[in-house]
Amino acid sequence: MLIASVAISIYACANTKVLTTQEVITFEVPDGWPQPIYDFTKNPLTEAKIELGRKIFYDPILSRDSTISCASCHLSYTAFTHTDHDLSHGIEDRIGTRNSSALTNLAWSPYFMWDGAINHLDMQALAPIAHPDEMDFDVALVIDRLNRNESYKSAFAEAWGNETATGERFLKSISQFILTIVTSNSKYDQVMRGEVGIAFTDKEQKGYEQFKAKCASCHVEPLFTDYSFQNNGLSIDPTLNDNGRMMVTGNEVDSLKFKVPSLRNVEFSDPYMHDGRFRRLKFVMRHYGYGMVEHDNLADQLKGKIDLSKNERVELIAFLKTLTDKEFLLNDKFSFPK
Amino acid sequence: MAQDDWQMQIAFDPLYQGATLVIDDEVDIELDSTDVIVDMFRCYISNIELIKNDLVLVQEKDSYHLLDAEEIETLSFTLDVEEGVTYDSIRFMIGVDSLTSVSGAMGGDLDPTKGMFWTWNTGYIFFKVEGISPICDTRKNRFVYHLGGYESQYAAQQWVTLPIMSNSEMKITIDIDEYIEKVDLIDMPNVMSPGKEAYKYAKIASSIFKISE
Repeated sequence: MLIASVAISIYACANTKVLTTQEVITFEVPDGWPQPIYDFTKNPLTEAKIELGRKIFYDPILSRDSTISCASCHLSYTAFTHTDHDLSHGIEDRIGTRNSSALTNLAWSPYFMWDGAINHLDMQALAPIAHPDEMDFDVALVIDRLNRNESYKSAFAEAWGNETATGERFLKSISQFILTIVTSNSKYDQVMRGEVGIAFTDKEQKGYEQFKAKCASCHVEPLFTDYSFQNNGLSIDPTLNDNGRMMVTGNEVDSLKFKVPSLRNVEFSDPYMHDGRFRRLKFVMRHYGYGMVEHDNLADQLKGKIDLSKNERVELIAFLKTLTDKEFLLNDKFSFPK
Repeated sequence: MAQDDWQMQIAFDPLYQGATLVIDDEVDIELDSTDVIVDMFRCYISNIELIKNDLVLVQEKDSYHLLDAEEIETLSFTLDVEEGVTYDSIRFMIGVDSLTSVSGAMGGDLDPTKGMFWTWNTGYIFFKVEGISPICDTRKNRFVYHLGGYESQYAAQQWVTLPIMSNSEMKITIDIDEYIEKVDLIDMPNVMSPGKEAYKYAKIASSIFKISE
């Protein structure tokens, strides 16, 4: 009897360490990274909420005719962006005006969209749901649909202790899933952490030197962006007339400025720029080398052009490919829920 | 316990053309050339305070109320007050404070499913008036005022202070006629984004809240 009771108490002790799906999960900040901007105290992560967010992310129920999900334009295998499409297409193949952003490391982002129009991650999903070229729907009607759906009733009950979907619960669940999409295990990261047996090749190392000298003032490590808005000398596309940040602030000094995007997984997030005008990294290099238009508010760092020899461009691209995080791209936790 | 039982009833009354505004979907009548039909009125009232001798004695917690002329029950609510105190005035904001505007998803009256949130440029719409008039040279003769904006230069929140006549109930009239008279239905029938116009019209909106005689 004594032995049995000891065994039971050990079992019970071990049992308390098993995470329930409602237990709060601490968001892990990779070593050497800044603290995230997102306030997790207002939306503490739990497995049930993350899973609900993932279910929503992959569900076309969000669009008017139930054809388009978040994942339609943000594929996990291509760093959560829409590869091969310069401008992303939504419902009934309608074409938007911008290239979809890579949804990675968003816990650190102070704003969202190419022009920073969205001030909080929770509110981001409202834009594509309502946009006539994307999901062409209304968040209130999405919530109605979820409240009539048995599988969502049980998912909301598990996540929120209440089967009723509300705008707040819905948006916070999406945020939870998006917040877990962290990429921090590229070859670059492994080299920086000094992992045994991992080193840049000569070419990559030379590319890294080029990068630090010529790119890193805007694409600041380790997130590879400083979250500023810059005019990077792109000519105006007269079919779009997209003024960028100026459309948000109404201020002419922001004309043609767009968010500096992170370069993590840049190998897989083609095409490039806010309108996806460059299909390959080499075209991006050529743009900074000799393709820029001298707008009045061209970023200071770009005045005088980034002149790289052909070899230097090859080296820089070799370095940029070390920002690919294969483990991230193939992570089951981020793919279509089973 | 007794203290909590003391409440002040606050009732808003959106008045238009001599009567409480009734939102009726079935406006089918032939309009005269100068008719102005209002078929939507919503606004946020927030950060309510009760003041006596220049001191704020009551500050409502989580003080966000969405008034909607179409849902009469939203037009009145109660405030917990102290027994036996006569307050001089009430102070409230028309709109949602900037901090709340940048703090992510909220529930209750601030839930973004309430149709009072801009999707393409984050922020709450503070004040909505829509309607139809043949004097508007717009699609289907509609005028649409969605006023808001929380960023510095044209932050459109407005504070309103009104005297308190009774410590058990107060009626606040919203003079929609005055708003319609002061806005420019001909040259500016649509204001739907933050900026100079929204700021100007929000000032007008703040002047139409009045104590009922």
